[in-house]
Amino acid sequence: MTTPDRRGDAREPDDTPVTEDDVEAPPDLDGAGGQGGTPGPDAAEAHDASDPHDAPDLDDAPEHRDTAGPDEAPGADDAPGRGGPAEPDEVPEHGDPVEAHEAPGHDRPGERDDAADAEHAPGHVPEPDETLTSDGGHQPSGWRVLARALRPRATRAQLLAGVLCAALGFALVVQVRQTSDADLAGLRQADLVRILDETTTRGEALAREAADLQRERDELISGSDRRQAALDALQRAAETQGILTGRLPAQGPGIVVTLTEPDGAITPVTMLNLLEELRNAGAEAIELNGQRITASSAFTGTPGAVEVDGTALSAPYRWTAIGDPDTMATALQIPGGAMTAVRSNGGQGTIDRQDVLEITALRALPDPVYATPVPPQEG
Amino acid sequence: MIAVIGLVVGVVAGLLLQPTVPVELQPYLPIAVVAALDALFGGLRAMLDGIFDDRVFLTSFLSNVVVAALIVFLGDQLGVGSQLSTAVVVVLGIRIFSNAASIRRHLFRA
Repeated sequence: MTTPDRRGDAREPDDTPVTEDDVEAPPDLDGAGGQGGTPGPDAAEAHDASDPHDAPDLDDAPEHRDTAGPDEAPGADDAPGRGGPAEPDEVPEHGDPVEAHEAPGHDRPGERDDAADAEHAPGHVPEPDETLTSDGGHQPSGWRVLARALRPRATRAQLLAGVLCAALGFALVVQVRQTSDADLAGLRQADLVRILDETTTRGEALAREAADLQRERDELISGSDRRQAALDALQRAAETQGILTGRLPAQGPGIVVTLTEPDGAITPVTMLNLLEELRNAGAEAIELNGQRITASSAFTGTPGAVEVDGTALSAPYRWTAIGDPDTMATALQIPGGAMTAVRSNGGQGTIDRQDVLEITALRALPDPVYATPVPPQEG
Repeated sequence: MIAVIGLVVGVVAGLLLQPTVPVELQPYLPIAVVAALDALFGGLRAMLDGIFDDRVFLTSFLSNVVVAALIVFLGDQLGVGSQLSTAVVVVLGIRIFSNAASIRRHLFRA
């Protein structure tokens, strides 16, 4: 429209077909008008014919048809697509042939619109052919109209339809996905209630199961606690037993007793007395000249050649005892006690209290062959 | 042709982007889609009738969508949203059928 020259050029070939079409116009309008709407559509078509090359003419055309519409009620209802005026549903028998004639008549304005858009004047060329074919007695089939509409042309109408169809396709896919996603929204109330019941029941069952598992877990934890406590007790008992039986090195306060034989010989009995005196005084770990003294230790031999557990000892004899130093020292020195016996054997002894003593000598105990522990009594 | 391409482009875009519909729009989108379908069929029929006009197509497309959504919105406010949306779908469905019948008559002459 902005280029009137080109539009004028485009108009030139238009003129002749339009006049030809004008001959066909009356039946077309009859078809559009449905029943006898001759005056109204005629006026519209007259407008088209009288002013056929005005670009806005086409845009005006619907208004004209709408004004003609009131002649027929259903036509007025069909706002979209302007399919209304034709309304072939109402008069199918009349509709078919009439529409056949009507198609070319209306196609021409469509073509004219394209030309008026002036996107490409060449697009105008096929028009006479079509009018020729339509004039040639062939009914322009809907397929041909469709094919021509499908021909890609960068017209405003095509672009608009493309954009709108894109929006429609987008919304369609989005809605379909939405519907398939949110399936609960489409369910009936009864189904929803049933699902709610099932969910509630399932939730309760799961809650019960969770409580059971929680309780079991607590039991296991406390059980492992008890087990740990038992293990600790056993550990302590093993340490105690290890110290007492000489399997483990020990350290602590105690006394060191050193016996010499300046003039005489200490008898094994004297050594045994001294050992028992130490035990009575509460010695917990005892070592004599690098040998661990345990409950099974025995003194043998002769005076001057004392053996302990079969190993010969030689003076000086060095006792190391871990226990209460004061108690042990006092116990050894009581009159008529162990030290007195040592002196009566012609030996001499010194007692040295120490805060930290270390006994490293160990004794390997054979596993008991005949004795086994009594199984613990339940309850 | 451009319309078909546009449709394909829209479908592909919807599949690729996978947008989520806002909750406020969820009741209106299906109705709007049906209304747009109605406008599309109307436009197709008008094209076969030879009276296709892009301005009318655009106007009818948009007004169909807006009016349909508006009716559903009004029904929601009045408490008859589901019934009213059913009514809208029925009316639009009838129109789609009649337009499809007209298109069929154009294409198959039957």
